[in-house]
Amino acid sequence: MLFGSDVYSELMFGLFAVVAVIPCLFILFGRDIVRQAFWLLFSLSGFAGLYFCLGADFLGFTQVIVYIGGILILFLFGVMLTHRADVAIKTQAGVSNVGAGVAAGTMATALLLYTIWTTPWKETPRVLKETVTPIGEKVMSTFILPFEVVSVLLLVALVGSTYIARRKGGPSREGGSTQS
Amino acid sequence: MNCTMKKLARLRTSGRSQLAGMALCLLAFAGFHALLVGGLPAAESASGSAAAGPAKRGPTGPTVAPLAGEPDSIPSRIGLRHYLTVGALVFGLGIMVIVIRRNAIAVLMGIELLMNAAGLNFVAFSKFVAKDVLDGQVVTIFLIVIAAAEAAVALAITLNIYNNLNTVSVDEADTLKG
Repeated sequence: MLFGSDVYSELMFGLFAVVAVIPCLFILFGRDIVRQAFWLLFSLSGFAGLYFCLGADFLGFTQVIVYIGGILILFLFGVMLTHRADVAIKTQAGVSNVGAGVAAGTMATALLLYTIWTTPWKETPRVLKETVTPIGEKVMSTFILPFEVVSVLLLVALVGSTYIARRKGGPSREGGSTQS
Repeated sequence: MNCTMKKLARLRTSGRSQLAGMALCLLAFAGFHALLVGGLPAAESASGSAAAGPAKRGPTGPTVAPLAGEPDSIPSRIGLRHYLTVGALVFGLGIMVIVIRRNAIAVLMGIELLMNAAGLNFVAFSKFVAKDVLDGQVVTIFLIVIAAAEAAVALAITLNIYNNLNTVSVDEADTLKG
């Protein structure tokens, strides 16, 4: 257990909770899409820390590797590939439907918080000392069908995204002669 | 000259906003901790009857919720509710980001926030209430994989929309076939 001590773990939870929640506000109110991407980095790091606080060490590292190392870089590539030099960033990253968005988010949060704080949960907290081996056994035994389905889904998503994002320039482009 | 002045002004405002952000983070952290140490009133009233509610701080230190497994892990006052609260806040903010922002990539960021909140809920439930500690973690691993696939496909679609319509705004890209 990484955070064994009582007060220490509470402090860590508070820190990671703030790191996870506050950057969402900056994503919501920010103007620069690149800065929003980097605020997302902080938020995802906060979630990784919360996973560590919950005793899910493998999941925390997976979060760091896949989200921060993969998806965020994908976002930055997307930002760079769709950036228009002639249009200001402010108008590119504009807002609309503010009232509807605030109403929907506030009501969803209020409903969730009301439910969370009025339900009498029967809490029996447990942590495992190490989770990698049991997770591997679970994935290979109980969750073998979702594992296979997810692997096929990942393959389909890779091929499909490559197909969708290809350049449909045709013969006018440089690589056009190889297509025919 | 004018350009550099503008740049400087922009730099100063951005520095000020970052300072404000840091101050906001500190304030939120302090407020959260004060709330925690003082005890949340809803937690006390709601968990009065439950046998294993969030452990309350007494004069002899925190009362211990029953542990099934490890004897060396000390339970803290952080219970299931706190994790779910974080998940709920991020969920609401993600919904706001999805509905309010117009940039398609920002909308995707909102979707990632939603998926993260759901994953945090999965792990918290599997630690605190589920029979098996690891089920929620395995589901969250699948969720991360699905999020990666979704992000790849959605960014490919965004690139395609940009190539065809020359915009990434979700309000302008309203034709089904460009």
